[in-house]
Amino acid sequence: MLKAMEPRPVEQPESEEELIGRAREGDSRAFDRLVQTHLGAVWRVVWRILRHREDTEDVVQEVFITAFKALAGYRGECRLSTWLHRIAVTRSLNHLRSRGEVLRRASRPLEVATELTLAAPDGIEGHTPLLALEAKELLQKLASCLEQLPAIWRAAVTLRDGEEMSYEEMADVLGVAVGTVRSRLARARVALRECVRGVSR
Amino acid sequence: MKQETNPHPHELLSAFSDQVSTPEEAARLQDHLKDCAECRQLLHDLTALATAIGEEAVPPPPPQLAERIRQKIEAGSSSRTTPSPASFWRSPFPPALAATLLMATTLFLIWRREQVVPTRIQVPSTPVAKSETAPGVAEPLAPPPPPAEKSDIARNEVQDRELKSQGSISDTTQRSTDEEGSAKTAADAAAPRAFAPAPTPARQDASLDGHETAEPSAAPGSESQSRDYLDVITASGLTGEDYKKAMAKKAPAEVPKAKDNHPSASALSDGASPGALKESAPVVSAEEARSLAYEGPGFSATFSEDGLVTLIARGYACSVTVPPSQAAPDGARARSIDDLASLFRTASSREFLAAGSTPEDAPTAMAAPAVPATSSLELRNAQGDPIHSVPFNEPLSQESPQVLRTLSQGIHSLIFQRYRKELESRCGPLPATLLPTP
Repeated sequence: MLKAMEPRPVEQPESEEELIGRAREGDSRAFDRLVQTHLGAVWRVVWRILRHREDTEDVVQEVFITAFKALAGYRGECRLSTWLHRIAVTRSLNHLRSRGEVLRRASRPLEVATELTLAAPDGIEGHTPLLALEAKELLQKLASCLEQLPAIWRAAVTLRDGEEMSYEEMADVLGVAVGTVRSRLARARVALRECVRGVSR
Repeated sequence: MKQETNPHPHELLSAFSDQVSTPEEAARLQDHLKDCAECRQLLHDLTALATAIGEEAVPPPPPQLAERIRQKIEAGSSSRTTPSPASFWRSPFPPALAATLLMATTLFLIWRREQVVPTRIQVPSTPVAKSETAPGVAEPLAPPPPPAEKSDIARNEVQDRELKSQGSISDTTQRSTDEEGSAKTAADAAAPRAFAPAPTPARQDASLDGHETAEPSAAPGSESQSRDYLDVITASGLTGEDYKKAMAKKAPAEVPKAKDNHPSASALSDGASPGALKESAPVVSAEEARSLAYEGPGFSATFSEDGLVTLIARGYACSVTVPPSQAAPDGARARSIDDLASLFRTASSREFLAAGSTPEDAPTAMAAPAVPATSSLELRNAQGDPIHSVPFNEPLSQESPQVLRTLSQGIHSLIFQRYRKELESRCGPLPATLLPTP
């Protein structure tokens, strides 16, 4: 009874650096808090690349387990989120490159996010072929075309347009030069646009 | 690096839509946009697409996912209470132990040296050796017959001491350098272990397979250690700066090999016409090629070594996986291209590598070449980065290098004949404008 009445120690919010330090020493609870902080972003990136719920679950788990084991090698040279994204993108691409996965995905129907929304961007004329489409139709076609896009291009588009990363961050995550990011993005977007326009005809 | 194969500055438009182009680029683009309705349209579409992608709904993670991750990590942590050999070797303990042992051994050897020499100096008092030197002066020349090896060691040690006394050798410096080197090696050996990945399913990427389970050697040599370091980092899913560092360590070992095989350093510098080169086996520098990208006036196509074929044309984009090809005997270059294996053999041949430029040599995307090329062929590595790029003009003439004609014909044949059925069954009929006229 007395014990229950004792004031509980106030839990001080810990900084990410402190949590990383504790997790590095093997404190899984500290790492758990890091997982909760970054799970949403890692999930989004992996889903946008894989576009398959079960696969995304598997890869996201792999990402955090790998990160926990490799945390000793993380020296804080980049933000933890960048480091996690780096692992997430590489793992996702590896997952898609595995031969069995390529065959499996080629034979399954396209998975499209169930709820799609689109607002016409400000300052864009409404009579362009893309925006002349019904928003829902456009997004369904976009999802289909994103699925068909080479994964390495899809990753670039995901990081830029989905996660709004800078080109420099993208270069760090993808392990390539900024110039490569730039050209890869351009190719991906033009291919995507051609695909959407083509399907719409 | 990339050669713009069409008159529209796609890369600049994309950068402009992201608001990352320089003022100079923006001014150039504005000039172009004044006269190009197609690019104005493209710019609008790119912006609309970027917004649409950003707003695409992503299903939320399952609520129990964080808990499952926690359980898996804790299961892994609890099993560490009785550390497995792998987790022991990944801990910082082995390098620390190695460094301690090394230091102890070094100290022992130094101590032993100090002990051994005076002992031998005392030996001349035995009746066997008659010394002509003054009594009391050290003279190691007549010890009792020791084992030959020890005699040599003692002699070397004495010589070392003599040289040291003359200032020729700094014994402690030498040893401390060795120690630093050894300690550094031990630290380096520990570094990849810090990145060591979790055991992963065997279905990892073929290009990364084999690295995933590879444990760095206990006593790494410089090159093998670098490779281990690179492999472990690659397999662990870490790229960026770590990857660059590993590549930097790997590069010096490969430079001579690359130079030896680099076409611009061999065939082209001899003034040999690429078309005149003899047929040869694939060269080493093309080993990292994982895909071949073709961009032509009508369409672009990418062929992945693992069987993925992607076709992008106006109004059409499609990726299909094609059945694996029959492997050809080593060194045999295909005379005609009828599947992916023959395509890659030809694209990895010395003739093709001699026919173009490295990415560094190629002009930048916006620096217009003197004669704009209509087409390009590009070998890419596992990351999709170009490792060899060949711009050329189509249609090819009889004077064009044979390998380019073979590749160009082969790619058209693969798209419009060999893999047409797969493409059309997945994405619908190929656009009529794309099909070659009969």
